[in-house]
Amino acid sequence: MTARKSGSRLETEIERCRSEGQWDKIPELVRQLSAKLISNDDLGELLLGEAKLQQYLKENPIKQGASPRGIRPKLVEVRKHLTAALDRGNLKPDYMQEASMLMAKLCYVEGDYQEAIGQYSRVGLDDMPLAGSPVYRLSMIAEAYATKGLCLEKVPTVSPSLSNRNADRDQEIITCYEKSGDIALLYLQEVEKALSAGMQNRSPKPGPVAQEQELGYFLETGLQRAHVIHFKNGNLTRGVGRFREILRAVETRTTQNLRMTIARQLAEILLRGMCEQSYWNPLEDPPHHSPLNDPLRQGTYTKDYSLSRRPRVYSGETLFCPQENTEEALLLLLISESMANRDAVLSRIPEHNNDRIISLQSASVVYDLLTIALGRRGQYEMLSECLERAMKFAFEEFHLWYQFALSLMAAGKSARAVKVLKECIRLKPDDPTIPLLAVKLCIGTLHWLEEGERFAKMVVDMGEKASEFRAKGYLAIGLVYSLRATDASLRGMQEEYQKKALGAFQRAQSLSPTDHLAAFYLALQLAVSRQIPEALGYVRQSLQLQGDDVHSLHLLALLLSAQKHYHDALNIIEMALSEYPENFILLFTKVKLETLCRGPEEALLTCKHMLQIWKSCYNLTNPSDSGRGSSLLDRAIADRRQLNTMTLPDFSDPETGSVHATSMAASRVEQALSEVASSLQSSAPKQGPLHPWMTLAQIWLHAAEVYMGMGKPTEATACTQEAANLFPMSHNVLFMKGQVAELRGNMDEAKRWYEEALSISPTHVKTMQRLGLILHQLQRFSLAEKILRDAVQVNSTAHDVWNSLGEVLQAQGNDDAATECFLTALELEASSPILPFTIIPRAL
Amino acid sequence: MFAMDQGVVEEWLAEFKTLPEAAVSSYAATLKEKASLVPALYKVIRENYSDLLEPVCHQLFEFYRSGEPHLQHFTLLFLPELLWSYLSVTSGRDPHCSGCIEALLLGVYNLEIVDRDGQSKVLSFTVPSLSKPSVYHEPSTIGSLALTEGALANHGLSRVVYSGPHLQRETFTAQNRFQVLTFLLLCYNAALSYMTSPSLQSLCQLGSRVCICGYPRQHLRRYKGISTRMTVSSDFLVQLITGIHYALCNGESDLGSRALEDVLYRAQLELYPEPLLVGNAIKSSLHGAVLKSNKEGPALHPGGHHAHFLTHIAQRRHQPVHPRPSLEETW
Repeated sequence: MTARKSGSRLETEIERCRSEGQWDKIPELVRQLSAKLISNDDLGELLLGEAKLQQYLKENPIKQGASPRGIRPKLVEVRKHLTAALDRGNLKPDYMQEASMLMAKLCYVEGDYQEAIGQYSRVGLDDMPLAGSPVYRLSMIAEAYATKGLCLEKVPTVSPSLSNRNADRDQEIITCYEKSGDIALLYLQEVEKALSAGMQNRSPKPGPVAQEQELGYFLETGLQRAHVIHFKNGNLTRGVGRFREILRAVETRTTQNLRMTIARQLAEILLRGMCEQSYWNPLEDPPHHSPLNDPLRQGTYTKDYSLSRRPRVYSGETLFCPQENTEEALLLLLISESMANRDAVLSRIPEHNNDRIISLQSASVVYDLLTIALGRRGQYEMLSECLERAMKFAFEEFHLWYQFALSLMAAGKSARAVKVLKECIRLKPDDPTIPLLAVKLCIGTLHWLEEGERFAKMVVDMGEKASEFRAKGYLAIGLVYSLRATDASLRGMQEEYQKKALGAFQRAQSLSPTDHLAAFYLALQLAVSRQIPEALGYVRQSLQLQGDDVHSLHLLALLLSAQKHYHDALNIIEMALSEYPENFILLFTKVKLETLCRGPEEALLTCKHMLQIWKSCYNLTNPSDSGRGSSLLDRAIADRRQLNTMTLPDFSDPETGSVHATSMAASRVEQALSEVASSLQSSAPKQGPLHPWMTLAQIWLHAAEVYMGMGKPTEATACTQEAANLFPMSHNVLFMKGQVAELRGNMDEAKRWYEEALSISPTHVKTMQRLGLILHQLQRFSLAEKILRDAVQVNSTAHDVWNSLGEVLQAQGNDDAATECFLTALELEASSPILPFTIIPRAL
Repeated sequence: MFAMDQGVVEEWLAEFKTLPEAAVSSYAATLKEKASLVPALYKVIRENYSDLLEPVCHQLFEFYRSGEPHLQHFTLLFLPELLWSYLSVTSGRDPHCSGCIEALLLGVYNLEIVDRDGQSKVLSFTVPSLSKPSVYHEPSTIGSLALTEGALANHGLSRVVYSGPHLQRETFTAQNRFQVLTFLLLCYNAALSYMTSPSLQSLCQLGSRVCICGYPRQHLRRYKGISTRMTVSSDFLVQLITGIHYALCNGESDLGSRALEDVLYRAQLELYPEPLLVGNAIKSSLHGAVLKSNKEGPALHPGGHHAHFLTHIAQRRHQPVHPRPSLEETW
C-alpha cells in the first residue's frame, strides 16, 4: 500500500467492497482500519466475521433441501468474530443491528432456526430504514427477511391444533419472502446505479464492473419462494400478482435470467389457466372472488405490508398495459423471446452441446407459447415473422422447421412455405402430410403444377405406408393432372392429362369410398370430358356422403344444364343457395339459368340481389381493413377469413373458372395496372382486400351481359363502366366493351376492344371467338381461321368456336372441313353446360 | 330418463319462472348447490326426443339473456353438449327436434354479437410491440431488435386488430354454420375458468367426435354413434383446441390429450395449417415442460411445476360440484 487511506475514504472503500461482494479485500482494509483507531476493533470483528461467513457460503453454497451443516471450524471462527463484536457493546446501533443479522444468518447456516428467529426479533427488521442507508445494508435486510422466512418454514407451529394459526404462520412466511424480494430488487437497482455512476467517475480505472453479480441463495429464495407458496396454497391470483410485481420492477443485469423465467411462467399461466373473463390487468386489483383460487382456501392471504421504499417500476405517460390475457402473454413472450435470442448458444462444437440444447429448449418453449397465443388471435403473419427469428436455432430441428412452414402457409406466404416444406420433407421423409401440404399450396394460388406433381408423387410412392393419406395422394395427383389438362395448349396433351387425372381420381375413390371429395372430383373430371351420365352417378354419390357440399350441388346443376334440363338445374341452384346464400359463383350460374328459364328481368333482379349481398358482406366497417399494410396484396392477404368463406377462385377468369396459366399472368397485369390507375385517380374506392372488388366487378359484368341480352346497350355500357372503374385494364371489361360496341353495330370499335383484350389475355377464348367472327365479316378469312383454330386449341370443347370455325371454313369453300366442324359443334353443344364445368374451383 | 331427474328439471323450470326480478342474482348464486340438476339437464340434452328439451332450451336462453354472469355461465356449461347435439342431428340430416337447440344457439350468438345498447360489437386485440414502452419493459433495454421489414413497418405502432362486426343470423345455413359455431366457442373459451369438469369433459368429447366420426380412427376409439363425416372449418378447430388446451391443463389430462390428438389427426387430413400449428405447439410445450432444464430456473423452482399446481387446483375446484356423470360409458 503506497499511502494510507484517510478515514472517510477508507470507509467508502469498505462500503463499496461490501456492496459489490468483494470479500477477499476486507481483511486488508480491516488491518488499515484498526491501525487508525482503537475503537474500530469491534467494527473490524464485524467485518471479518461477515467476510468469512460470506466466503464460506461462496465456497459451500447452500442447496435447497440439504440438511443443515452443524458446527464447522470455519464457522466457529465466524462466531468468534461476531460474538466479540456484539459482546463489548461498543458498536454504533447500526453496526449492532448488522452484527445481529449476521449472527442470525450464521445460526441458520448451522441449523439453529429457533435461535435465528430470536435474533431477528431482537433486531426489529421492520423498523430498519430503507432510505439513506448504504447499499450493502439493503442486501443484508433482504437476506435477513428471506432467512427469517426459511426459519419460520422449518420451525413447527406452536399449537398445531388451530388451523387459523397455520394460516397466520403462512401469511407471516409469505410476507417475509415478499419483503425480502422487494428489498432485493431495490438493492440490485441501487447497485447498478452505483456501478454506472462509478463507471463515469472513475473512468480511467478499470474497476470490477464487468463482473456479474450473483444473486446468492438467500436473495434468490426471497424472490422465488413467495409465489411458489401462493400456488401451493391454491391462491393463483396472489401468485400472479407477485409475478407481476417482480416483472414490473425495472430490470437489472442480475435479474435478467429471473425475469425471463418468470415472464415465461406467467405467460404459461395466462395461456393455460386463465380466460378473458377471469382476467384482470396488471394495474388493477385482483377480483375479490376469482374462480382461479381454490374455493376451500379462499381469502387466506392478502397483501398487507408496506415498505418505506419500493423498487422502481416502469413508468411513463404512454405505458402499454395489456387488457386481455392473450395480450399480456404475448407481451411477456416477446420479452422472453428477445432475451432467449440474445443469450442463444448456437455453437455446434461438442463442448457446447449441453448449453446449446438447453438454449434450444428454452427458446422453443417460448416459440411454442407464442404460437399458441398468436394462433388464438389469428395473427399468423406476425407469427411467421417470429418463427423466422427462431430459425437460427433450427438446424436439423424438425419441429421448428415444420412450425415455420405452417405459419408461412397460414400467413398466405405460399412460395416460401413450399421451400420450407421441402426442408421438412428432407428431415422427415416418411410423413405424408408434409408433401400433401406442399401440393395444396402448389395447386392453389402458386399454380406450380410441375412442382405439385413431384410432391404428389412422393405421397403416391409411399404406397401402403401412407395409410389414410394414400387416397389423398391420388386425389392430389389427380388434381395436378386435371389442372395441367386445362393448361395444355395441345389437344393431345390435354387428352393425355385428362386420362391420367381420371385414373388417379378413380384410384382415390376406390381407396376411400367414403370420401365425398374423391367422388366429387371424379364426377367433375368425367364432366369435363363430357361423360355426363357417368358424372351424374358420381356426383350423386358425393352428395350422399356430404349432402350440403356446395361444389357437388353446383356440379349437379351444371350437369343437368348440360342435359338441357334448365329448370331442374335452376331448382338445384336455388336449393344450394338456400344453404349458401352468399356464394357468388352459385349466383352467377343462377343469373345465366334465369335468363334462359325466366327471362332477363328475373336475372336482373338476381344481379341486384348480388349487389346487396356484396354490400352486406363487405361494406361492414371493420377497422382492420383500413391502414393495414401498405400494398393492395397485403390487404388481400390480411383478410383471409373472408377469402375462405368465398369460394370464388383467386385471380380467376369468370368464364374458365380455374386459374389458367395465361389468364393468371393477365390477372397479375390486371392487378398491377389497376393499382397504377387507382393511384393516379385517387377517387377510386379501392381500400380493403382485393378480392371483394374483383367480385363486384364481376357482378357488374354479369348485369351488363343480361342487358346485352335484352338489347339495351346504354344500360350495358353503364354496368361495364362500373366494372371498368374498378379494373380498367381487365380483359373481361374490355371484352364486354367490345360486345356492347358490336350490339351498337360499331364493328371497328368492337374489333379494337377485342384486340386490346387479347393483348392482355391472349388465350381468352370468348374474345378470340368474337374477334374471329368480326374478321370473318370483314372478309379476312385466313386470319379469322387462324384465331379460331388457336381458340379451339385452348379449349377444344367450346362448341360456338367450332361453329364459327365451320362458318369461316365454309366461306373459304372448304366444305368438308366445315362440315366436320359443324358436326363437332353440334355434338359438343348437346353436352354443353350453361357455364363451363371448370368454373368450379379445384383445390385440395 | 328417470322420473327423479324429470322432477328435478321440472322443479328448476318452475322455480325460475316464478322468481321475482330482485331475487335473480341471489338465485344465480345458489344454482351451483343443486347437485342433481346438472346431470339431469345433460340427460335432457342428450336424449334429443325428450319433451323437456324445448322448455329447457328456452330457460337456458332466458338465463343467458338475463345478463347475470352466474346465469350466463350456467348456460355456457352446456354449450359443448348442445353443439354436439346440434351437429350430430345436422349431419344425420334428421330434421327432428334440433329446432329448439338451433334457436338457443342462434339466440346466444345474436346476443353476443351486440353490446348492451344493441350496437354491433367489435372485439379488439392490441398486438404488443417491444418498440413501445410497457408495464414490463423499456424499449432501450431490449437491445437490437431484428431489423426486418416487418419490424420497420410496425416500428412505434401498436397494432390493433379487430374482429367483427358480425351479422345477425336468423337461421343456420351450411355457409354460416361454422362462423356461428366458431363464435360460440370463442364465447365459451372466454369463460373457461368458470366451466366445471363435466363441461370440459363434454368439450373434449365434442372435439374428438366431430373430428373422427366417419374416419378410420373412429374404430380405434370404439365410438359407435354417428358414422357420417362432419364438415369442420379451420377456425372452428383452432377454437376447439384452445378449449381443449385449457381442459388438458386443468384436470382433464386424459380426455384432453385424446381430444388434442383427434383434432390434430383431422387437421392433417384436411391439410389445415392453422390448427396444426397451434396443436403442435401445445403438444410440444407440454412435453417440453417436463424436460425443461434448470439453467434458467434456479434450483428452487423446477420448470413447469405450476402446471401441476393448476391441475391440482382444478381438481379440487371441480370435484365438489357434482359427481362425475358417466360420460365414459359412451366411448
